Amino acid sequence: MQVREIAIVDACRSPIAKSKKGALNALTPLELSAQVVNALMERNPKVPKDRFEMVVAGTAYPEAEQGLNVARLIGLKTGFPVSVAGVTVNQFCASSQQAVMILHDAMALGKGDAGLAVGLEHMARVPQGGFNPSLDRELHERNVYIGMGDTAEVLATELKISRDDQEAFAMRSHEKALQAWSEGAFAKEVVPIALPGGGTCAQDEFPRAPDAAKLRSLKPAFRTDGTVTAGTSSPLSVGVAAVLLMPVEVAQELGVTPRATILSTAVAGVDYERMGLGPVPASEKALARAGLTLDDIDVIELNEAFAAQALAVIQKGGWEAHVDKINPLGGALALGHPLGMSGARIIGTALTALERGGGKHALVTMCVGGGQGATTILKRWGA
Amino acid sequence: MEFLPKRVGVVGGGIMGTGIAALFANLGIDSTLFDLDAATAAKSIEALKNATKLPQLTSRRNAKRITPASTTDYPTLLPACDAIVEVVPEILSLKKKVLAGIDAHRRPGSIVSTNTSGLSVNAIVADCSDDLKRHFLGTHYFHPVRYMPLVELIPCAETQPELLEAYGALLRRAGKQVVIGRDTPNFIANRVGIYAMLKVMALTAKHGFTFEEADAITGPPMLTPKTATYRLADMVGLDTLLHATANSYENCPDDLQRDELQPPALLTRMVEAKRLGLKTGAGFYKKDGKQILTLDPESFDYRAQIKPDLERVRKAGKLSDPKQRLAAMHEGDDRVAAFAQELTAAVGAYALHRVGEVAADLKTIDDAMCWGFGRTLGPIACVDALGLERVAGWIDRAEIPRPALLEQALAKGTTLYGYDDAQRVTYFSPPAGHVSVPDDPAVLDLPRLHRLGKAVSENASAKLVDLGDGVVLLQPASAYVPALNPIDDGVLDQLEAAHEHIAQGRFRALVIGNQADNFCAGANLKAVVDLAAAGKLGAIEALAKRLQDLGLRGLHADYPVVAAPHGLTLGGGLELALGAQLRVAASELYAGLVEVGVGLVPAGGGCLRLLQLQSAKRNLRGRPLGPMQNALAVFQKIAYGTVSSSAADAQEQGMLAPEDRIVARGDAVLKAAKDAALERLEGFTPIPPTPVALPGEGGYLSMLSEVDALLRRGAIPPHGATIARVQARILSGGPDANPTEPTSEERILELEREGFMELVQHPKTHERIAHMLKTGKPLFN
Repeated sequence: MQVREIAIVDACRSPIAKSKKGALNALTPLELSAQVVNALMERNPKVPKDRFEMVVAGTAYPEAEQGLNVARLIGLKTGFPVSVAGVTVNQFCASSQQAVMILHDAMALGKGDAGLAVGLEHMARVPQGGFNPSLDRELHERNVYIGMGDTAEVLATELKISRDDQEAFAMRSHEKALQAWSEGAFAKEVVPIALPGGGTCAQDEFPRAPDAAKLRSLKPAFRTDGTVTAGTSSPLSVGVAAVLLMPVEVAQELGVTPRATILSTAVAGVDYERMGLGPVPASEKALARAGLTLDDIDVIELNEAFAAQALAVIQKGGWEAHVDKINPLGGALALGHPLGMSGARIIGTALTALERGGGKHALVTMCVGGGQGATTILKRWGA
Repeated sequence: MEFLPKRVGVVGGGIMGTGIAALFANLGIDSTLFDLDAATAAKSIEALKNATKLPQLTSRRNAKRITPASTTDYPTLLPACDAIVEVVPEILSLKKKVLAGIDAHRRPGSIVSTNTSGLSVNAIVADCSDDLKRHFLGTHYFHPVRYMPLVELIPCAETQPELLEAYGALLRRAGKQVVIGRDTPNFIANRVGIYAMLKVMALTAKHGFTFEEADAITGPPMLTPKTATYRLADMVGLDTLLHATANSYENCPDDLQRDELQPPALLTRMVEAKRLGLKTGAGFYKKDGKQILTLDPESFDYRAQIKPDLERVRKAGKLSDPKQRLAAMHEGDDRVAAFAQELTAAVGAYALHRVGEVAADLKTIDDAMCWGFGRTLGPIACVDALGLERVAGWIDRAEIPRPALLEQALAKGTTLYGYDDAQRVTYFSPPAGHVSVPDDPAVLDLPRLHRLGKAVSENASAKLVDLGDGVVLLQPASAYVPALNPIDDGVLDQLEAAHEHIAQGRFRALVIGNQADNFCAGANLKAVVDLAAAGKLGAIEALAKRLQDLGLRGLHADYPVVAAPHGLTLGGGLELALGAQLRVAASELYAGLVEVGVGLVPAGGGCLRLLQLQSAKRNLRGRPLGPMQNALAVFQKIAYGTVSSSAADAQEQGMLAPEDRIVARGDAVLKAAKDAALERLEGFTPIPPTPVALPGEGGYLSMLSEVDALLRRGAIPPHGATIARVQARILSGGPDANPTEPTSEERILELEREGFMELVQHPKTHERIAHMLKTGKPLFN
């Protein structure tokens, strides 16, 4: 069987809103997903919906409004024919990156001529942890259910990542995000969302001018003697991102110009109490599979679950020399981290950054609760 | 005539206007709130909805009943209003102008009222049409509307009497206490109340008391709330007080005690210095950080507070019977007794002189003082309680002319209040003599039933009363703490006796309720502590088990058991109410399982009942919400000791059942509960045992993780975490529970007791209880 090269035709996302009194709280995650998918499909009119084999949606808590196989509901709500299947996947924060990976692998093996990956998370409507958490005693005693903030504290302590360094990193993230917004960098990536009762939400709600004194004044968020605060943690948020994929040969047949191709993907597991380190082994694998090294990478989209976690990846991965490539448009600390959305979001943001900077390769990576990492390597089309 | 408006128009969106709109919204009546523009009105409604401190709405949902509008919308919107409430600022010319606008657009026959605390109602309406005048009255609401019971109704010369009656009935139905006054300066309560405050001020100076001392004397020992005099003045605002004082002084030239209405120099000076009380941060008292300072009237500066040390006040304060307390304050010749005698004589005389001027009879004046100023007994009733001869002597000593009514009563050798042959309250109203207060069909007159000897049995904690029609009442009534009525073995003895009476066929239904300030504020903590200190753990567990068993007995009885909770209904009090099959609650219900505050868990069936109420909830598709959601929802409430802000709130929070009834009028609850019990008799079917699907260990561990995370981040203290773990164990159904096999009522009760017994022995729980008993506030340890 011949393996097909898979292209990313396009990607877009909603703005990321606050889960507390944010503009997107009036919408359900399904309604929000429908708007984002509709926007993406409308601007790619050459892509016929009947060529799709499946819509794959990723969400970290696939229950309640994100349950009932929401991928199928998204497909039906956005006018895909009933013949297109819907699959909801869960890999916590990497859910929608995994959605891209599944579509990549399926289409590479000839299964489907087009694929839609959706990442969604409405952290106001479906809380982190879900509505019906139930734990296993043995795993509980092994601390497998450790809270994400606590894993960040573990890394901060073990790797001696100071609160000052974490705060400097967070402030830099906000500065970059504000700069990107002011330059209109997100014009293509972010689609405006129509709100019920009129009005639109067109802008990320979190980025703001850093206030060092205010950051310093925050209390530790997870342990009284800790260093991680709300200011150095990605905020609870709401958003949807979508990615349109297609084998390169189909794109050429349809006269569609891709934006990038996928060179490799990888997932990896790490110790769950140090889950933030997941990007290190996942990225090593993905780089090896693509036959590249970090020197070949122009843009690194490293999801910022916590400043301490991102700094730990840089330290343990030996990425210090590549810090300038990381999150040029700001990261999750400033933009927000709607869990299941973020995988698709950082792929889209990597495209934006590659196209703005004229780079060739992007490495997109994130850590995952339970101790995992997921990485995708992209090559800009035409580079 | 009955008057139940479909829509009320409220003109003026200030604090009073929104409060009145909220009052109607709470009763289920729609209103239109008119302001200069609709956006301003909408903003006021939003503020009403979002208020967290002393909210006017009993449920945020009620805000939907109020529609914002502009006064320019009168032509289209005003004709739809059956009642129109004008509540713009108290400037005569403004009120007249606004009324002219209303007159031009209202539907003839609609009832129009003006709300004022001091302006003449006749002057306000003078230029209006005849139809409006006939359908017009003045109201005097007190702020905040929801929490202050009194509304004074003031007819103008043309007001139709039956309209006044009907409007009063409407406000009573909304939970207000209504008196009918006359169009005289400051109406009833403020007229007498301001005189009383000025008299206290004069006597404070005369007898050389500090403000703290005067407040200690004129508070609860004199049957007045703790805010007493100076604290109350600071709350009201000294400018408002001065304004009202001037109104009395200037417009009551024939007042025999008029000289004493002259605004005191100190008050004037304070207003000039912008020391207006709470609103400017300084008045008679001033808050300085955590400390409260007191004004020194000599230096006009503030000094540290001096705790009053007055033996007579301390002794009187220990007496729980109001009349005994009052008597204890007046018997003697020390300066506190002299103060009390002079005050009671002067205010009593002033009030008696007002009969026929500001109101038709003496009872109306006393009622206004009780409902408007929170007094236990009105000033005239105080005179009566202390003895007319005696008080007449004090009045003579003060060289105040004796009120005619007093002379007539003395001449006739009668008291001012009494009881008729049917044991109804009567009051002296010459020339008719004693007049009986008519029965109110909505109210069960419990004191009268007691006078008629309807008590079946009683002890120091509770009574059983024969309510007639085969209904027996369990009346929690503590002889020692009558305001709180704590639950103890004495209450349970009577409850058990009630069930036994019914089992033996003496009665056929049970009502649990009282007409005290509060239904029942919880368990008798002191008793629990004493048992724990004595090592009598078995007795503690037996007490909990008894409350549980009696709860189950009431719940599953084959005869009606209805509770009538109102006011504070906390801990064991809520468990007592939840041990009935149905509740008829007063709208003003502050209910919650607050055991966490004293380091305990509900163990009188509270966890069980909340779990049952919660798990009866269904989603839109009629399915249960799931065992974990149910456990978590109850956990949220007992972990934080959530207390409802109203009965509607309690129902929304699952602390009342959906079928439980809410009555706005607090004094009508007991009668409504009795009626509900009789209703249920027809075709009565007992409630079967209802096991609850609980999550078991998986859910327990999930709650445990959350508790640990909260502890690590310092969001809860260590003992708080210990308590939360116990709560989690109970609410998850214990380690053996399995969501596919619902947990029995008995098992949940067993878990309650286990948890309770574990905590009641914990030294940190003892610290919490000791702190609560000492300070009245929870300790976070």
